[in-house]
Amino acid sequence: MANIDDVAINFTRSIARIGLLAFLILSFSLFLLWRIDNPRAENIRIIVINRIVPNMEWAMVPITRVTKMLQNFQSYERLYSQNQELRNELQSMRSWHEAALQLEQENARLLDLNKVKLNTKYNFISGKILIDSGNIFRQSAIINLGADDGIVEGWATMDGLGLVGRITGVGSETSRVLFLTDTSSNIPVLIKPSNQRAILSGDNSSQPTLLFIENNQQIQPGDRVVTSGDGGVFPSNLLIGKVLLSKNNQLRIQMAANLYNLSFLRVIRHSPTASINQPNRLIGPILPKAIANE
Amino acid sequence: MIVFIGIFILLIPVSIFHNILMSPEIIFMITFILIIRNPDYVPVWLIGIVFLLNDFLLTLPLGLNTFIALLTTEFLRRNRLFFIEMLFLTEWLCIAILLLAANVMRKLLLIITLSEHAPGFTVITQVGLSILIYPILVVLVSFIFRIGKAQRNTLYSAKSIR
Repeated sequence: MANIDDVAINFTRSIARIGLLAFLILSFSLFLLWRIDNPRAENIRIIVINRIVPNMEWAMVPITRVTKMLQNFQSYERLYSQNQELRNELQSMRSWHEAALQLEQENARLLDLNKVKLNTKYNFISGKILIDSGNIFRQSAIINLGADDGIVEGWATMDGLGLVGRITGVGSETSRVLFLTDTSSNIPVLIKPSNQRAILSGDNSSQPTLLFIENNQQIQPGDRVVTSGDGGVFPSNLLIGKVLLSKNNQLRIQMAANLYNLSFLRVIRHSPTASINQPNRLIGPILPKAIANE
Repeated sequence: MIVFIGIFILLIPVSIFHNILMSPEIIFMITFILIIRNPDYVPVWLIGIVFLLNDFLLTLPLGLNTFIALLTTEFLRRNRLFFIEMLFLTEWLCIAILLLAANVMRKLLLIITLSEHAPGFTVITQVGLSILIYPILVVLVSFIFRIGKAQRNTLYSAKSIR
């Protein structure tokens, strides 16, 4: 009897060993593929995510419930202080409201003087976040919109208030949003009252840094930061947040979007402006081919 | 089978929390704990699939974590008997060394292949935090799966039967 048992144990052992070897080889070759042919590997990743994530929502329902409950509980605790804060905010909002009305009137007058033709407003598609896969190395999320909904790589995404990030991978039903806080996110911005240009670079903290500022003296903490639209990736004038001065005298940004409590995202539809890549496009309309070739 | 599904659900959503504490190391440690307590709960294929999924979903380097996890868990599986006899403090120390080794290996592989890797300081703080919460995880995991370390005498009796 003991012999038969031993044989059975040996048999399962060897099967386990073969499985281990197979998995080792598979994972290592995947890693090599990821390193050598990165775009193809990322495509495979998107396909896998597209298969799995929509089918996994049932597993996440209890988790999201629990986190919501915890958040509600915390907000009960802070009820009184929140009430006070809201009162204060309301007070300052009233003054802002007044200021906004006056500015609106002034703006209308100026536009009338100037006869400016306004851009058609950017329209947007709203999507729901399926996985908020932020950890300290990668800051991104997966949303339930994809190529089937007309999503194009590079489009900007916002929550209700401010810019969140951009689309970096599109599957047929899902796509990935890279947050501004990710280390690989660098976007051109404009700091508002002084019109300074800078690069907003993520460093995996919740407050991305401002780099390459022309003149530091002109920037005050609290200044508004918007996208500049340079490079044509983002439309211009999308709100990002306000400037902060961190403890070690670094300029950072307090984002207007609340990255820790995202559930829906707006993807801004926009087509990049026509690029000027030939000298004759610089002045005047496109010439007929016969003339242009002369 | 139910236990397998339980582990699967436990591992996947944990990785989805948006929190510094909920780092990939947590999954590593849960697997370590389960292997020391009861290796039947975490067969090789389950580790492979869960870590592969984790790599895919969290946009980590594909297959890298899986590779390292398979190597370290296999090491643990081979040396399981030593770990069972250890006091908790020594076990904690050994797990800490194992985690560090796993991170060094990951870093080396990334450096050798000249790919982008996280700054050393964040890695160190992350590993440190994970090591600190190891006892809490042990209590949680053994409560959820209702497993403990095999007692010494039962272990020897099991050996003697074979």
